Amino acid sequence: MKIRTMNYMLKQSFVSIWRNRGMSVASVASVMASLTVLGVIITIVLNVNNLSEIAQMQFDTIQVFLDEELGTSDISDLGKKIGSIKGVNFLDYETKEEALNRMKEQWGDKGYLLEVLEENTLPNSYIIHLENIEVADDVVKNLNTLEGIEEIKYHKEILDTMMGIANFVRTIGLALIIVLILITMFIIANTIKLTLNARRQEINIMKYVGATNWFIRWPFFIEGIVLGLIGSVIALGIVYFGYEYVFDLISNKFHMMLSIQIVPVKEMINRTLPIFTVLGAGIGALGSILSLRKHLRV
Amino acid sequence: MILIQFKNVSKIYNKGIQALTNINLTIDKGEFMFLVGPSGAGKSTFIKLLLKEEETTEGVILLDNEDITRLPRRKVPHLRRNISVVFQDFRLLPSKTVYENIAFAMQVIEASPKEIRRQVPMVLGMVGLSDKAKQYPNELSGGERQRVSIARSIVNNPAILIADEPTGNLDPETAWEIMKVLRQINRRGTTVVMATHAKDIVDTMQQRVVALEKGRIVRDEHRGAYGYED
Repeated sequence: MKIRTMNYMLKQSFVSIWRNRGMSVASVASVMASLTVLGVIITIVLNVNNLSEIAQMQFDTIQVFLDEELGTSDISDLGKKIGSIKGVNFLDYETKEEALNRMKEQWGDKGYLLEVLEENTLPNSYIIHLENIEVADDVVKNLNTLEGIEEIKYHKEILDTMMGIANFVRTIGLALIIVLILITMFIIANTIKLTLNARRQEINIMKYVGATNWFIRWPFFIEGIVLGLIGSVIALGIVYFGYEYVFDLISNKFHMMLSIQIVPVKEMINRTLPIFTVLGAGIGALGSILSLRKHLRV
Repeated sequence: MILIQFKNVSKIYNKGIQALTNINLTIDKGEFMFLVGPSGAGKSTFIKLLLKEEETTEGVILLDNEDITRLPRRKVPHLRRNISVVFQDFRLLPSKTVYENIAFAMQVIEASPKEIRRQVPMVLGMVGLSDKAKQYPNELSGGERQRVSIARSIVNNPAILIADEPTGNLDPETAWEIMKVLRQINRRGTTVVMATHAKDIVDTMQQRVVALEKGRIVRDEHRGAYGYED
């Protein structure tokens, strides 16, 4: 394509956007709304994914609390039995004293409160490290058949819940996004249709003097893409500043520790930028194709 | 030398209307041909088939020995650069000046600015509107507008100029101005096919006349007359 042709087409597109500025604003707003919602969903999904990854690393252990009456030999026997269960990687034994010390550590400067306890009521326990989180259910089933275990504590439920939430958010999000994108495409198609009507006479003449089909189509195509891109840039801005605000809020008002587990703003934008650009331009392009197919017989 | 050839061409529209039946016709290079006949005789369909706005139902149309009925859609634009058309209603863009209206036809086929600067004043001169270049269509008379429209249709040097009732909206005197311009274009070698109801013009011009009735050619005379009482 020649440069002056490209100039001509860009000019036509922007003139049309300006001429139908009402509908153009509506299109941009609609792309913006769809992508902002998408941004929120991406934020949630990425964070839930991130959390569940962290959780998997921390929670791939099962803690079994032992009966108070168990003697030393019983304890080591039980340890051997547990060690032979399929899927168990290795065991750590934690005495009741160690458990108390760990608890004091965790309580930090309030640890002195534990000093008042007259007797250590914490049980002895085995901490079972699993080969992977998937075997947890089977291992627990096996543990249940063993004698001398008072309680089994494991985090599969937490993980399951988290995965469940992630999946739920993803599914609902996807459905919502599809609906929003369809609406957006329809609105863009309508905007293009207005341009088409405004330029019908011109197009008619172009056809009779032998303009190629793509020469006629390009300006509309560009118009759709420009509207989509403007919308996606605004949405990206909203998601960026919104996420930064929430991120700061969490790390300042709540806990530094918590913010470590949140996907950083920069990474989030790096991930959403390509998605937004492609989707914005894509929605715009599809919207114009929709309109051109229906209303422009070239 | 044959430029256009219709071979057993029929056109039936989707609704079952038989618009043209078994048309056989040749048009030579440089010819001036009138297409006459009552409304609904098939003149418009004839023109639409030539412009490939409609497809033939049967038969073939050859242009320079090339079968245009089998032309893929994407090649139609290039066909239209060779077969140009002028309408009764001028079809000028009101927001563009005379010069811009004509230049537009060149811009959309991606002619260079240099070519545009050379061609536009030349065709404006041919239709006698050199002094109106900067005016807008609504500042011109009907005859002048039609001359702009003709200038636009020949600016890309088509082989054929089709005029679909070009004088239909004009008074007799102005119509003659248009005919002079068309005759001049024809003399320069462009084949002209003109569909018309203007009896006086056809009778006076003494050119080939093809008469259509109910979709069939009923008369084809060189140096013919209109042959209908309006």
